[in-house]
Amino acid sequence: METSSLVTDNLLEVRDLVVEFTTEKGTIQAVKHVNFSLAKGETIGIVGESGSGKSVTSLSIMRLIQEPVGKIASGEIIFDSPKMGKVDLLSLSKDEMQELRGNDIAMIFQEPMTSLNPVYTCGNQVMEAILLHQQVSVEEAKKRTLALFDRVKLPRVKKIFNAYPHELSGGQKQRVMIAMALSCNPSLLIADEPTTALDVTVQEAILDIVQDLRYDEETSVIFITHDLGVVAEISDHVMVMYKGETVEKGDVWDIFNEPQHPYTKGLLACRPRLDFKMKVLATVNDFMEVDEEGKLIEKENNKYKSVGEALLLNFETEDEIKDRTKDLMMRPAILEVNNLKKYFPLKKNWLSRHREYVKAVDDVSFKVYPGVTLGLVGESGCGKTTLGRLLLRLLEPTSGEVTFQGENILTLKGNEMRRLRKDMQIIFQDPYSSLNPRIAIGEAIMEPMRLFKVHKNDKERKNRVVELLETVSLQADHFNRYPHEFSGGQRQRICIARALALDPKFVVCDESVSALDVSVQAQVLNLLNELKEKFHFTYIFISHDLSVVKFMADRMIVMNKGKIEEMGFAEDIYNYPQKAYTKNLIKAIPKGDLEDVRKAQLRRKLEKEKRMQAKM
Amino acid sequence: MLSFIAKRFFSGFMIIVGVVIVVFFLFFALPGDPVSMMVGQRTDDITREAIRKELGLDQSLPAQLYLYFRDLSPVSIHKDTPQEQQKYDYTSLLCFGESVLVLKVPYLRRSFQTNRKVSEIIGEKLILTVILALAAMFFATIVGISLGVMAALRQNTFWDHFIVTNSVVGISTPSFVAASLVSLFFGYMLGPYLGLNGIGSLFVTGIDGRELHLENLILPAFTLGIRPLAIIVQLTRSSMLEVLSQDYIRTAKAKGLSYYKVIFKHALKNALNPVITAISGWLASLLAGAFFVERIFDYKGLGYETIQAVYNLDLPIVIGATLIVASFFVVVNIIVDLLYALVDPRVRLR
Amino acid sequence: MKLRNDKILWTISFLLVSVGLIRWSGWSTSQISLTNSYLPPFQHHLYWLGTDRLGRDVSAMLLSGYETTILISLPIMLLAAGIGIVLGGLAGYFQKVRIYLLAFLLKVIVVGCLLWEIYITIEAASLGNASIYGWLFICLLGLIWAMIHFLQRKWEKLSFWAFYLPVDQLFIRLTELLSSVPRLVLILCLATLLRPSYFNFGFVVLITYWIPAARLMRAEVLRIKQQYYIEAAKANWLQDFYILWKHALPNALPTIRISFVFGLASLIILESTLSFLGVGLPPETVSWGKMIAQNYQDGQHWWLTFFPVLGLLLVIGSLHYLADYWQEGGRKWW
Repeated sequence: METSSLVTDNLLEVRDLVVEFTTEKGTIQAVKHVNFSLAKGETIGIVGESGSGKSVTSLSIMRLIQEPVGKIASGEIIFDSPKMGKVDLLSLSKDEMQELRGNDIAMIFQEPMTSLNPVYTCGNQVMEAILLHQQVSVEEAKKRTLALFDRVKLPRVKKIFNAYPHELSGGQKQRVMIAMALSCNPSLLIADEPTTALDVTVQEAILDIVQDLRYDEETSVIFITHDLGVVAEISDHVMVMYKGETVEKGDVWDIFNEPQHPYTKGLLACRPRLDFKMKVLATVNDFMEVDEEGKLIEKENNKYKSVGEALLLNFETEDEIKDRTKDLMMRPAILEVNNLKKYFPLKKNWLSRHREYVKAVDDVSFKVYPGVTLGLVGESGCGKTTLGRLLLRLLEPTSGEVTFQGENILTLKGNEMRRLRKDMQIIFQDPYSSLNPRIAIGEAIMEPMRLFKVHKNDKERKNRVVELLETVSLQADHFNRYPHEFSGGQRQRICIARALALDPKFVVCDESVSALDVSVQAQVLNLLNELKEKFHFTYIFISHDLSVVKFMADRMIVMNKGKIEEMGFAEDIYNYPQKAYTKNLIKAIPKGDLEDVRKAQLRRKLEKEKRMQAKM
Repeated sequence: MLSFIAKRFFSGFMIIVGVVIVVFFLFFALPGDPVSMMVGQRTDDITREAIRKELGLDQSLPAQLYLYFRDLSPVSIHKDTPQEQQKYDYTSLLCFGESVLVLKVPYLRRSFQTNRKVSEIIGEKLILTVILALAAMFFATIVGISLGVMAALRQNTFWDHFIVTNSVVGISTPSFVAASLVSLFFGYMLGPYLGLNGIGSLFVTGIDGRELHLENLILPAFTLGIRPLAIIVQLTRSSMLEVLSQDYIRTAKAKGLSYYKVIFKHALKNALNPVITAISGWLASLLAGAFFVERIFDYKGLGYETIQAVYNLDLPIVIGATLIVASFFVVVNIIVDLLYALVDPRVRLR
Repeated sequence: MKLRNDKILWTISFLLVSVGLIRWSGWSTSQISLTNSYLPPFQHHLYWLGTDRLGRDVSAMLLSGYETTILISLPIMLLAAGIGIVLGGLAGYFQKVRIYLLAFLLKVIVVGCLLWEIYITIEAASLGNASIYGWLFICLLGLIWAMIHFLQRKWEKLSFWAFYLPVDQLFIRLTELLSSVPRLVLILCLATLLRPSYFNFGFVVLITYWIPAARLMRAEVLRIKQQYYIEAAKANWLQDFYILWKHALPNALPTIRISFVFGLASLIILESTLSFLGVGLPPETVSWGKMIAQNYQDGQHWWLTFFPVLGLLLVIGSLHYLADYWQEGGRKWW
């Protein structure tokens, strides 16, 4: 394998990689002629939305593409292995590849929940990797495993060593996964969306571990993510992918400072910002369009010339905000919540009578004013979703009061409740299960109208549905289609249309954009804001993502462990957080602005020098 | 874990009690008249009365239910008389006055035909049927899991299609059809060459008393195993395919484990859980399936005896067999649940 | 199995239906003619599949066996699946139901009497001595039930003592209990007790055959309940029964129909097994099981056993095939 092309200093070089998948509709190229290289000790971030081929690229490096459905059609992946020298991974035999996997190249996956084998203890699974690649005794392997657990900052390592995966939290599982990946000191670590399923504070901790690894072991990292903020924090280089193609790659500073490709510009501009308030989010479609040949081109005479311009044009000054929020709270509250509690009984021990509870919502009181969007933010398990359900009485509270337009909804019965229902709607998180797969979307939107006898006959209702579909930028001829024919963003629009069918006064959005890609998310958020202007209703916007909540909300509640940590105007909470919890939460969010990029670069440089000196 | 076991045993016990009640109501409370069914055309009033008294049909329903439970319970209170002692054959534990707290073998009443105790008859025959069922299950499990794994690993190849198609045929064949065909083909036509008999029991009473004929187990066990074999093949295959697409298998591969280690250490242990459940479900219905196989192969086990009793309208034996088979099912289920908890740590939480 | 496609599906359904149609069109030649006894198959232009000892046409016997099989199994299985869907769906959806004790007890008593009366009346009717009074009594009981139901709404006192009935737990225990007694054994037992008749057979079979469908329905409803569209429907305060009917049932049916087909296959096996043993069904029934039982030891006249066995395997095999097809390909909808 000593061809001239191999003579480079890079640890990894991917050349002209093409991966194909066979589906019912024919062969699809999931990765189209991708090239990149990675030097020792560097980190490359691969950014893209779902279907961009970023995960497939990483799996092909490990040669873990599911055959025979997927197949690496052509290309070279040259890896500088400490033992074998420079080799093309794609031409290695299966045995040689097994030798490399887990030893020289290790991988962390997106789903910590399902990536560990449920029937073996965590310690056992990490030990397995050590015993496989290193000639050590079982005791030695156990000792190393415990040391690794220590290194990834797991608490009570001995207990976790003997614990089964289902007994750990998501963050802990991901740490075990990292420990497993680190077990043999790999020279290349591939992290495939390792923090997507985790809370921001946990994400911060995990990113720190990965950073440390780089300083200590000079490990190269391929970090795959959809979150530009994370990339800004962690990588030296960035590669942006779109539908299997590389649209742009380069130094992290260059990408963030001067993005060349319209798609990159769109991605950078469409993220809700934490540092200032925006009126409207720019979307990817403001920057680019697809020409007749299916190629991406920059939109001619587009709205914004650059990312900076897109931000500047939509920037809302503090005076404007003050102006807008000044008299919002003068009117009587539309919804008032007093001492609301919801306790879920834990499974009680059948021997003892003693009952224990999970306090999902613990003594919560607040008011919602008409026209003021209330944001509800908190980490997973803080009770925000339960609270949303309680407000609509989808769950019966343990105690407390919910007063909607002057009526306590918790004491209402059958028909009275139905009358109120018309005015309260909810939009759920998962656009895939929010629509009944057996009911055409037109019917689905029409169903509540028919039951509440809104409009005179089906013909009028149908006209109204078409109107609604057009309001959410769908077409009239979508009326008779079934949910599976739509993409996630489109489905969420349908759900929004359904929620609007009864002209509600009050809408709860429960993580409504969490399952969507950033570019789609921006469109849906803009749509929600437009609708608010048009129909004059009040939102409660629930999300784990502080930046999204801050974009949407006028007032904001931070929840933690079922209680309200902090409540107030969104700008105030962000700029002057009072509680430690809120401060931590805000600190943990990767901002992804230029200043952060520079800081991160500087920090890396310093750390490197520090360690160099320490070595000498 | 301990409370899990205790819970499981308690619920098993409750189910057996429930089964007794269900059986009781089916037999004693339905509008059919067991007595005239049994004595058929004979209209001898004295015989009728005797049977009525033996079955306790002259008493009210709740009283009958009480008597029934008292007969079945291993610990019960009886009058301390020689007749009672002879009827129940009990060991007394505690005496108070005329009554006595006793320990006994559950009294399943007596056969109408031979007047022997039902528990004795069943005890004698049950072991033969259990051997047959276990042998069949053993055969089906070993072969079924291997073929299932093989089909899953060679998905969409000739062997996969071949195994799956054959398993559909296997599932579609009623056991009496399979039994007749196997008995005809292997027993009669090829019997002389293979040294197998078309019919015959595990024990044959010859000149020197009872002789063990192990070869008589082969054909019935094979026949009985066909259906569970086919089902296990399909279950293992689909369960294996599902597990192989899980994330943790990818993790195991990313660790650099060899193909066989991934399959046998990481995939198989997860894939076998649903198969174990299915096997437990089948073991009990195998006892039932054994009934026909036994009849065709003339294998004198519980099934043979029960079907004979059905023809003779010998009600106590039939009820006894029902209860035994049901209890067997419950016990097997408990054992399997415990096994399941051992294999899969997630189950223990429930 | 590469051949899986809709053509095969249609072929199977076509065969199942058309054979029945031929039978019902009145083609039957099962007359006794001793001159034609033991004709081998494919040699006589009238008796394609040969004749038996009495010279009866095997093909005609096969067809009437098929008719018996379908006429017995299909209605029972439909009823069983219906019961299963209702009970499983209710148990899965409601979990716990608020019960007003007094009204509930009254209703239970009335319904108990009602079921009992229906059983007795139908059995009498199936024996040909139906009385008008039985039916009148059933109507009367129905009226009483409706009266209690109506009173309960109007008259507060009937609903003074309320508690939660754990419907789902009861359901689980009941199915566990009933499935502990293997079906075949249960049926054998009842065969010793009840007169062999189609009605009794159906009754006994129903006791256990509703369970698989019910369990599956419960599991499906539990799964579907997790979906947000159910919650969206609840958010609109739609009636529970409307949600069950409009949203849960259509999404559960693809799975239920699989269990239905499996149930049908196992019912056909059961029926043929029982007629093979000559237990539980009326002795005059013509069926494949009986044909096999009468001839399986007769190696010389193989066609008498071969064709009914082939018929059984084909019917059961195609049902399994259909179920497999649905299991793997039927989920195209989502």
